[in-house]
Amino acid sequence: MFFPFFEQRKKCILFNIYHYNRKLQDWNRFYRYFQKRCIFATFFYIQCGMDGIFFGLLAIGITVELFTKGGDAALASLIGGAKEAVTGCITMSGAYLFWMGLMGILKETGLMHTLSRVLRPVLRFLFPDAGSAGEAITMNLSCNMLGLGNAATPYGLEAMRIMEAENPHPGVATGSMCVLLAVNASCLELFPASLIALRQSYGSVMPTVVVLPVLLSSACSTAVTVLLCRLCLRFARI
Amino acid sequence: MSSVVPIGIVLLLCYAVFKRVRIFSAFLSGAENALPMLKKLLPCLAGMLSAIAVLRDSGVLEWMTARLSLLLARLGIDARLLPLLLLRPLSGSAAVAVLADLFIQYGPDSPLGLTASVLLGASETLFYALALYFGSVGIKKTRFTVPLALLATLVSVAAGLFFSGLFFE
Repeated sequence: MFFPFFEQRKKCILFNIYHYNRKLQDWNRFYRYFQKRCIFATFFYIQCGMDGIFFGLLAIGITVELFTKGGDAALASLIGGAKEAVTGCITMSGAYLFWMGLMGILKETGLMHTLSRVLRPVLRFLFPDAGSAGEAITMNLSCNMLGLGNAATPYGLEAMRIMEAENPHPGVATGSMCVLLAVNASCLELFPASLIALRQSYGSVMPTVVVLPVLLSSACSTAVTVLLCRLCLRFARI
Repeated sequence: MSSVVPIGIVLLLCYAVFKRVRIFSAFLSGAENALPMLKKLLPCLAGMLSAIAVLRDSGVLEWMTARLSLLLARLGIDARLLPLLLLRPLSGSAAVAVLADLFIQYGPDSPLGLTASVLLGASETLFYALALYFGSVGIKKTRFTVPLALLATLVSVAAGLFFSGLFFE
């Protein structure tokens, strides 16, 4: 937890130490209570979130459309939306299958391992207490960078498993785990394959024009995230 | 600039032949990896796109956009990007559905379509990744991860808006 007040607590010798301690303990207890329920609840929150969103969108949309255009139009637009989804998905899957096939060739040539080797010094800087999870982390980052989000997840899970096995405080996220998740959250993509496939399927004449802005913005956010991670690792105590 | 990717493809194929890779079977096994994602994407896309189509046809989205555009114009954000921004941390497939809807309405090469594509590419489904990664190993105390990841999403959105404004205007 990001908590610089421990230093102040040592320095403070006035009578409101106790008062400050009391405030500290309450905050800690509250935060621990919240965290204990955080992970297991997150799945349920996501589920509830998606249920709530789906319910809200459908209910509001259908009700308003009943009033403005009538039941026939409401049904027609519902089915029309599903039809758009299928046509979009089918056209997208053509392009996506092609790009994933190319990525398969890329993996077989071993360029992915070269990328991992290139990334190794970066890794030592970012994940100091990674230990033997280094290879899995580089594969995770390489897959993310090449736009293979689905291939990256098993490597990420493997890396988390290894880091947890070597964790001195089991059940508490180490700094490297937090950094890994933050870097995954601001995903740095050299070639966003699924995005390009989606654009192609909807008739874009220049689907790859977004590659450079995407790269620049994700690089920016990754840089900021990494900086903040280093700051947090320096100041945070368990 | 536009021929970079095809040239890259040809170079990759030549390099693969040089490395004596069996190209077609590698291609097939790589393409097989795309199928699970499509299997997950299609139902979610169908549901979300139906809901969004109903909202769009009934005029609710236009009304909300008109209401919020004054507020968001001061921040420099187009109000029509709001569904995408809100849904992105929650569910990647829903965000893809919103993007597909924007493409249908405005075309993928319009300024809005390009900006939305950049935003989708620059961010990531946050809560799903959190639950998956930490839940799979049983980590209960996440320390500073959640605020940091939320901040990462915010920064990526801001950077995406900035760079798309730079490139596409």
